[in-house]
Amino acid sequence: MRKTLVITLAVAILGIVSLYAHKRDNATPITATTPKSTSVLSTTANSGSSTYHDGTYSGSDVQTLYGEVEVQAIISGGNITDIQFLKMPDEHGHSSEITSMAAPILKQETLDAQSSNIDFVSGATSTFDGYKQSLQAALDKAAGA
Amino acid sequence: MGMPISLDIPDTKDPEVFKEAFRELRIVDEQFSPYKPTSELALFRTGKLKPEQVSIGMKEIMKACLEAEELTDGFFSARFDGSFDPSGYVKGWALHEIGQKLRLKGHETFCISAGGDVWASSSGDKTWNIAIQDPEHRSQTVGVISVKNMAVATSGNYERGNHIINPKTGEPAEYFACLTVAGPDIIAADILATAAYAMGKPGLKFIDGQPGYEVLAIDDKKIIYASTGMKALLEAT
Repeated sequence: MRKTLVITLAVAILGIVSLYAHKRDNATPITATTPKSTSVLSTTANSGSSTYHDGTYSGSDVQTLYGEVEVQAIISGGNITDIQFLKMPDEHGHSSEITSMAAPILKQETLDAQSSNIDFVSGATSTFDGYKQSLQAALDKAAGA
Repeated sequence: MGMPISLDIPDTKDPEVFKEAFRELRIVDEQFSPYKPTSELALFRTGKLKPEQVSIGMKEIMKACLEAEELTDGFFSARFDGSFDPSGYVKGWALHEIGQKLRLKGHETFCISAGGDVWASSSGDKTWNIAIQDPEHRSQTVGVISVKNMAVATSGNYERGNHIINPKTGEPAEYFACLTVAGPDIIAADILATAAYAMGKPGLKFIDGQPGYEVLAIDDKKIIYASTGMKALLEAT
């Protein structure tokens, strides 16, 4: 049951995200690639159990015992090369135990603009009203802008 | 453009350099602001200026918007309900123009941002730390990349009133809370971020198919998707 659940999660993500990085020189900023909406879910789901190994899924306990788990799949060349479990803290206080099992690559930090060494922030802040609440505004203020 | 601009040029304290940059941005705003009733855009939209009467600059923007629409299969578009609004394109374009002018003047190290787009440029040792904003907790970040030359554009609907519409459904695009594209060119990054966001899930694959561009996206379940290159950028910090 546990293994099935994890595979379901992984397969769902594999279907959604199949990313690979090809570093090539780009002559034009945007290529004429048109987005394809074909789903790869049906082909990769049946690619055999070799894509998934028991050891990778030792975190699967998290799903049943500790509530909702965030799964982050990094996929390279159509294969899952990395899975990170990022945990939302739950009311049982198990979050610290779980995050020590996985090493989240994306850190959520409360920023003190004075002490941060962040220069600029990219976010979907497009209006002046949004800017006022934004981290960029705090940074600009800290810089004396 | 209705949005604040932040500009950092470490190698100069000359206020004129900054004033000139902001002057140029004001000129862009005078021409393209959808909020100013006297802007060329407003005059065109209200029919006071006919298509054949608009400036060469406006024609170039219109052409660029159509090209972006074609290249993104309509997921980036400056046409809404029969009306023309190039604001999404002008934002990245204005940053591009300012940055290019700075470079021509010998200021090759700078960082400029507007409306959540950031263009970092460095010809020396300077490394810029660019954070990606957490869509839910706006004073927090989901990661930082340290770069010398990188354009970063983020699209999202978490800013009230900022709705990107999926042109196929006519509904606001809502699969991701936000989507960030990083790459060499700010105009392209901006267009790609907008288009990919509007696409929803297929947007990730779309960006990955663009050589030199990386993507990070967060969905409404807080699942984070990152291309291999973006992951490397985030982990390097």
